[in-house]
Amino acid sequence: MDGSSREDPAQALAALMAAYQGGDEMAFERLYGELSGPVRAFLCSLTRNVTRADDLLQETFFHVHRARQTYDPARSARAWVYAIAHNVFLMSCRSEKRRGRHEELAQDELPDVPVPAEAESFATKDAVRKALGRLSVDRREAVILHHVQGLSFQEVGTVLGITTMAAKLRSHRAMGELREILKEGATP
Amino acid sequence: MNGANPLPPELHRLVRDDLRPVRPLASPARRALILLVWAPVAVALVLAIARPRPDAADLGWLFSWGVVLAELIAGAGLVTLALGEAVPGRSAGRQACLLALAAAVTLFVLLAVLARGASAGVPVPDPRVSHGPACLAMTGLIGLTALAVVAVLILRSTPLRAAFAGLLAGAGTGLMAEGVHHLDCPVTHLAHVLVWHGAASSCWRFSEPASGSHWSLERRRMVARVAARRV
Repeated sequence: MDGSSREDPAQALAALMAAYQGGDEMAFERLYGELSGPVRAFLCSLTRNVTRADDLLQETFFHVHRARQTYDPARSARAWVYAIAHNVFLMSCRSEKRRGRHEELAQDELPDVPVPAEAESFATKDAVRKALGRLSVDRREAVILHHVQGLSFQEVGTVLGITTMAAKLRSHRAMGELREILKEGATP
Repeated sequence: MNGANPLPPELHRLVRDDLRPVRPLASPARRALILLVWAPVAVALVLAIARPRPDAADLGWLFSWGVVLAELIAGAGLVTLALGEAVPGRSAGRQACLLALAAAVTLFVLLAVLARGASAGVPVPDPRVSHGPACLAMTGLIGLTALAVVAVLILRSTPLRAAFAGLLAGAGTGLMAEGVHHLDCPVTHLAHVLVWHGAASSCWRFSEPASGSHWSLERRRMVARVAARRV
């Protein structure tokens, strides 16, 4: 991240956030460089629509900038940014519901979203991607955050506003459901 | 999909134009401590303006000051949850917050029943009407001052879920106002307390989410304006 690959990535992100809070423009650019890819992938997994995910990504970083004073340097910067992305996604769902707009893509148009590596061991990536779409948004989020994005259960709990135990349970149940869906799909 | 994306020029410009250093906010519990200043001032003002309730001796310390303290502490707890809700990643969770709201309503009803049991209060011709508008105005006014303080604290956090944070803040300040007003209102009849005092604390509970929704809407419009510049 900083040329010093031995530095803990979480600490490096926290240091970038602290510099950004101090008014360092380069720190924001580097933060965007570090997090925009994973956050976009997270939003793609939730929205299953690349255009919408790109809009929400920009909105997420707009809120990151407006709310930068709410970041506590002692906490995970990654979980803080994902929590904003999660809220931005929920707000957009609510406003789309109000407007009666519903943008769901056909199964064969799904974006190339990352899938949990464990699930790929018993089905093709395409099948896992489709199966992920059949999970509820709550469960999909937990799976994506932990199994794809590599957030700890504590961080997942922070992002979703639930306890660490509830995050663990939700992720575990979601993986179980994903396996069931894939088994059903594999049965001739 | 996981690779870095180029920084959109309009976002870059927005950040560059508004890149003043900011100080990280203190934790929600620490920021709620400001209510430690508000509460004694509100109590002192109410005691200075209004006459002490005539049934204070019947109520005793527990059902006069004890009720005030319990409602102030519970209200401050809700305000702390509201301040947490306004910060990304600091929410106690929707279930926990809804549980806290239900507990606050239960506490309000329970204390009203206990106070009624301790003192019959001042008899009024029709408890559903008498003293009602005065209590509504007084509790509303006390609540408004607390709400103003809390609204500033919440808006400093630039909340994303402003309506829910507002609901918690409104409920907390309403309960605190009801606690302070308990020192003044001598009517303990449940019809009066539950209807008029309950209505006064609820009006803040439901007005705050409305202003929170308005805030969220304004914020979304601002985002839309920034996005429109891209096209």
